[in-house]
Amino acid sequence: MSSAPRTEPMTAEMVSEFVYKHSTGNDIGRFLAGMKDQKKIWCQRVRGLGVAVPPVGYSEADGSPAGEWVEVQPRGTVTAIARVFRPIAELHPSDLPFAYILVRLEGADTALAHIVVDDLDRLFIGSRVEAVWKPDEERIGSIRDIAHFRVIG
Amino acid sequence: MTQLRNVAIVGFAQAPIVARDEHRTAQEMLYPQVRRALEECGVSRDDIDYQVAGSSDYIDGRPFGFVMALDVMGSWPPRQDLHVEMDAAFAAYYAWLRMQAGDCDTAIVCGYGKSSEGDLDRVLNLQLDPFYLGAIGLDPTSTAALQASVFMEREKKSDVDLAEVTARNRAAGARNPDALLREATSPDDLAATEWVAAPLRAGYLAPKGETAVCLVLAAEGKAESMCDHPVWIQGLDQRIEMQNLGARDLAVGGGTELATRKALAMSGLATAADCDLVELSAANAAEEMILCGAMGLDPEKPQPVINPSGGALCGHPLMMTGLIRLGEVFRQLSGRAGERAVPDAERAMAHATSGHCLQQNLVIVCGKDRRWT
Repeated sequence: MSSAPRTEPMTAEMVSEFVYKHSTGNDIGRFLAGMKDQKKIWCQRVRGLGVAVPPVGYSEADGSPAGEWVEVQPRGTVTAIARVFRPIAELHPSDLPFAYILVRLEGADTALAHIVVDDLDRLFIGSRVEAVWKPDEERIGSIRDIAHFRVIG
Repeated sequence: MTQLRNVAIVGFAQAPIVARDEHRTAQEMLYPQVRRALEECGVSRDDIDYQVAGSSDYIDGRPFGFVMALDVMGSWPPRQDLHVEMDAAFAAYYAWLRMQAGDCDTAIVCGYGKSSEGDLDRVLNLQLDPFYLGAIGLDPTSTAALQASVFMEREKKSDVDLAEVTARNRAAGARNPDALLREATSPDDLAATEWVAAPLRAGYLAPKGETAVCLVLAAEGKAESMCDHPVWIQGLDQRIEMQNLGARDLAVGGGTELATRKALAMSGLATAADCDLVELSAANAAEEMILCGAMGLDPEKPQPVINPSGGALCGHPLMMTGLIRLGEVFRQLSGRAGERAVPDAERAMAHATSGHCLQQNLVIVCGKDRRWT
């Protein structure tokens, strides 16, 4: 089977870079536009899940079409925490230790994934957090138009 | 239960897991395993009717990367071939399914991929939806930590529990020559390792590695001549859950629970306790506890033995970890498990997963006896 290597190990460095312009679509697009233009979080009421955050246009529980759009509040209760001690460069949204969270926003029945960067010692499951919006000129229609969530209780 | 075709695992070859093989390409790693597996079965490549591989293009570093392994598996004379971008255990599922059609009697199932050559965290971020989860940079350790936090809060589990689960696996892995980590480690030492994404410490994470594996399947009538102790597939089921992490109950393995129930029912067993051993694809200690809850396993009980190989916590070659679990089940039930053999094992269960937070799960029940005739 495997023979002894005949050469010193060599590597061939290859960089693959492809730029995509994903359409944000009708449902995700409306959610992102609400964040960009109104600093509001619009979600959809769907069968089986209630008010689903973020919206995808149908019920992930039973496949039925989404119902009415509902505004949920930019604050809520933390349901899960991952405390990142060594952020990964060019992937993670913070250079300093931060936490990923799942947050159940007021008026919503499912949780949104986002980050907390300050007061990590006051962050627990059950903590109350509030969205910190980026300034008008920096919001581009992205989940990161919310810069981060801050602990409020 | 419908009468199905009896299919057995008749061969399995795996290179020992290493953190990085800097001498060989993925194809060079796979080639000897394919040859070994065929040799073990006493057949040539032309005796194989069907082939399926599990690998990831992004790990290979090119779209359609799977074609590079085709020649190693077989591409002349022209072959019936399938590739899945999932753990290769799912490829075994599709090979079994294909053989139910009746016109294929033999198959090889391959897993390969050199995860050390690229940036695995960034690659696996791309498994998530690009707008909501991917866009905030989530990597698999961070999503696993989110899941672990929900589970530990709900079930009142602590850092000590994670250390103990890991230590049990590490002790078992010390007897597995193919494992990446082959030293027993105390819970205290594991609990002293650094945090990566709390509540997960470095010690509680399955160590990433690379290898290549080839498993051989054969239907009744062929299997008996290819292996001294064919290990028969008696029941199997695979389930996938929704992508939105915030809409799932992360504390429970709903898909695993259902897949286990279905696979056990198909094999005519009442509970997981009817198996002598179970091999789990848990990428961290909390996942293992979630899987145990979903599958009805209790590490305190003598049976089934959980991860006699040391499991994924002693070596996690992405895209192959699940197929290795199936290979370990074959080794245990065919008298090839060496020092880690579970005495008198008759039945065993293998679990495989793909995606973040146990999103997709496959459970395969195997035994020494044929199920349907």
